Amino acid sequence: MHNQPTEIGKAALWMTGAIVSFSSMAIAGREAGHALDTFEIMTYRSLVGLIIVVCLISFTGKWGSVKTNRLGSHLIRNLAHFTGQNLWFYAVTLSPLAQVFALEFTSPLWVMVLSPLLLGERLTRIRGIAALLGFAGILIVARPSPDSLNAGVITAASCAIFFALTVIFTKRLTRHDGIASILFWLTSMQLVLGLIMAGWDADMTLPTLQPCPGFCSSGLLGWRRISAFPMRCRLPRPPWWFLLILRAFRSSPCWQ
Amino acid sequence: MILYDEAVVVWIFVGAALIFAANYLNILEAAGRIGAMKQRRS
Repeated sequence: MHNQPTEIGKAALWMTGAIVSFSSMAIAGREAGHALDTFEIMTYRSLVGLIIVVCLISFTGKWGSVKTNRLGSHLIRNLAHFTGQNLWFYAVTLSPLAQVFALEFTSPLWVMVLSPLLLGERLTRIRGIAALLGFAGILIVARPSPDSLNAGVITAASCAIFFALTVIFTKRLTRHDGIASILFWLTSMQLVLGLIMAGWDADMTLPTLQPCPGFCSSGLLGWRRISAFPMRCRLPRPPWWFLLILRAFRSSPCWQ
Repeated sequence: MILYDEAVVVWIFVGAALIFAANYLNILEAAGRIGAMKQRRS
């Protein structure tokens, strides 16, 4: 705990980087969304991500840490992430970005609410108050009424729940698997899921030059967002720092 | 706002401030700061 002030300063710096990364990714997603549907964006984005991950794993000689004994857990985690990410890409094309971000950032609060059920962690009084405060914020941002409630608001709000589930399942996985393994299965499973969903109607748009920068930067930023794990940032008491700083550290460039 | 000419709605900022406060409270609780503050007071 003695180095906590330094770590909070670092967290603030990472958060600033994360905001730049999130904003860039939202713009990339919106631009790509003009030409491709969300499943197609996820397919091409995952392909870009997989290429990067395979190159990095090969470069760092980490293939030994890519494990195959928890594929079920990886699949559950990646289904949650795939769903959340599709909802998010859909939301950025429909709602004002400020609204999408405000709602997306409720995911740590959803983690707080869901982790007692899924991880057996304790929901203290302070955390209960924080959850209530956050949900009051959701109501103010969404202002649910027949006029203001639309698909964009609903998808932005619900993507936060799936991102929270992703965090919880990731936390479970990090007890056994390293970052290389999680990222490899994330990108490869999402690529397959994306191909299935995008090709379901036998009408898959091939990428042209126009959306290319969108999904390429989305793949790159998406990889960057997840590549840094708070486990390696030596923050005190992982559970809650983990949940909150995960979002902030998603743009960290560190890799082991 | 600049790129897409999106309207700035003040309620989004009010709600976002509350969500930020909730997340910050969660961080303080996780870091054990709130317990430490209570101990200092007593």
